[in-house]
Amino acid sequence: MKRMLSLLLSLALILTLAAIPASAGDSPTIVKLLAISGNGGHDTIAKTFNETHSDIQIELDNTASSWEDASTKLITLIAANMPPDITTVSTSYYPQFAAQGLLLDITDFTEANLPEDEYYWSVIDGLRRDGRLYGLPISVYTLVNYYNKDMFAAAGVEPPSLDWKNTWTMEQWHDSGLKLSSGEGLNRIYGAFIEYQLERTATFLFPEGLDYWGEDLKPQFDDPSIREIHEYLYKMVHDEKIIPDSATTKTTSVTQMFADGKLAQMIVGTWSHPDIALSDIQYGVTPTPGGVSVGYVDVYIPVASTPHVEATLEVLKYLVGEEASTIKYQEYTWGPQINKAATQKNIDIMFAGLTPDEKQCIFDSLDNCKPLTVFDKWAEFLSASLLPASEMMSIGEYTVDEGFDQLQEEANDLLGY
Amino acid sequence: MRKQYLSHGLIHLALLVVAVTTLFPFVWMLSTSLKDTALVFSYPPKLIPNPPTWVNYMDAWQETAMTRAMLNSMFIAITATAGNVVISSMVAYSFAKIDFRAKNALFLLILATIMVPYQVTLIPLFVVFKQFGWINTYYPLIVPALFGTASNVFLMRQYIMRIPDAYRDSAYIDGCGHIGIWWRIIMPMSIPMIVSIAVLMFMGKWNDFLGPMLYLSSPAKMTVPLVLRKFQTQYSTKWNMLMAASCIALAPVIILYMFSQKYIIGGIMLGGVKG
Repeated sequence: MKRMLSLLLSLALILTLAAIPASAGDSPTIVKLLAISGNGGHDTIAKTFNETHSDIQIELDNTASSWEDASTKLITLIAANMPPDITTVSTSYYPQFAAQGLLLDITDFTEANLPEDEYYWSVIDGLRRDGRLYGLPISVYTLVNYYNKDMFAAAGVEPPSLDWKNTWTMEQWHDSGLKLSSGEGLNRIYGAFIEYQLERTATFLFPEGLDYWGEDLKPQFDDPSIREIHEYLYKMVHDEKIIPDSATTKTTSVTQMFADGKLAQMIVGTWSHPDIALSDIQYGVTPTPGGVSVGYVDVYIPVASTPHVEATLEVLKYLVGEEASTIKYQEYTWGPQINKAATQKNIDIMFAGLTPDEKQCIFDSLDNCKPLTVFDKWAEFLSASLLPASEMMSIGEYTVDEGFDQLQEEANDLLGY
Repeated sequence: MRKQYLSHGLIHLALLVVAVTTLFPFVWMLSTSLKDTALVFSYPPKLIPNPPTWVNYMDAWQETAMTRAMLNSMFIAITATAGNVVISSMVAYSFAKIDFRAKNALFLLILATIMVPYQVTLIPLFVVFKQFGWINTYYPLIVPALFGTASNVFLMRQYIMRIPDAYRDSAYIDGCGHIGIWWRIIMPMSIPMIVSIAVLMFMGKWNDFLGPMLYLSSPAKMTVPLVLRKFQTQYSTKWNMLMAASCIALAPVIILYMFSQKYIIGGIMLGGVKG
């Protein structure tokens, strides 16, 4: 019995000791940064910042490793009234937090501190909501078409021009894919790929002036022209088998299929480049068919309830500044940054394996892309409706009409149409 | 006789299929942990990589604070498990062997907490722990377990009810109080069930991702599941490193299971029988 009691007492002692806080010395302002792990380079950024700033220190929390995890943690922290000062979120989550009034309005600060000749303001402007800014881009990604140079040469397929204004049409992309496809079953070599996911396939809508959302966000999933484009892609997946379906790409990643010569070309985000660069094949890049890419922006959001606005803004400025941007380039964890000086200085280490013209093609995509239309309830619509319906169409469980009918109905319900 | 052999053969065949299906993911994990990046998704897939790449294990260990994470997870899992087993068995003893008013209603109330998903209580609990000043400490991951868990109380109660009352009565006559009976009579006789719930509890705490992700923020306090997720980023996954790190993380659980497996099945089976 005594042993039992001493065990319990020891346990209580260990717990007490574990909770004793570190002694406080000089107290610099602590700015809490909630970032996702792995992609960040934020460990190095925080360390570098802390070494050079004695009055402000970044306290980094990168326990979350995905946007979903980070969002869950942010919502919980906000509910408990102890939000971080700055958080990283994807495009999908930015509107909902801004709409709820949870974010700091940084319009005046940004316009005063980020000169137009030092930053890519076209990307920053993409984050405006009713003319106001509530976040700054961490990085910007676009869809481009990566292709296997040897497979193209062997099949006698000439890649399109690197000029976004003068590239393949969707039909030419289809024809090249058909020519590059061969084999059956497990030995099938696929001629082309785009994820049958409506966020991605928007790249075929934009050149035609189409969008899933009309005026006042009226859902357009019943638009026959939009359905026709998806019928065309559906045929490429399920009838012609030019594009692997999601059942195939879930068991083998597309970048690995590409690296293994099982896939001749793929329209993917530039976030895939680090993986592609690991392959041994000769690869190149071309504009997406139609010449209008889709732009994705990951965002730093400062939280409105931060008790130390000035310090938070200083950290925010540092995060998009030259030093932090260079760290992100050097750790090769993000796409193009909005800081022009860092981008120009690090252009050689970006997009390894591509020729200067091909790199320029990627940079040109920033001027030839359209951001996705996202709205306050976008994250909810994405996870509950758009992704499941896309998946069902991709594996052939839904026809295009079934998938789009469901999306139209759910979008109408969500947006009150 | 021949029919019996055939029947046994079929049963063994079915068991073999189940065993292979169960073991294959583990074997594949081990295989992937020994492959270099190019081999991970190579086609046709290779179960036995040639040559095996042991460097993944060293890299996985060095790229993350694995030693620290293992110690942190070990501390949380052992402390929470030890406390939970003691308290759950105490509560179970009281429900199984002591008569008091509204015992059944209280027991039903405890069981009802099983129906409430963790996600529902997530934010209220977070707010409470924040009031205690427990954020970024191990308290929220350990202290709730020290109040016992309904499922463990249920299993222990079922087990203890099988122990004849005569043991309790004779100990009582010999001068033992309830604590003495629980500690000297019931606990030694409940070893199989104690081991079972301890292993299940340990595994639950060892593998818990959501709790540490929400409550912890300092790199020094990271646990094993958080460290494993470092290999799985938003845009890519280092599969071979992730699998190597997972094999490392799995080792303590497998060792624990190996030493306690004979108790686990028996314990749960007996605990599930109505007393």
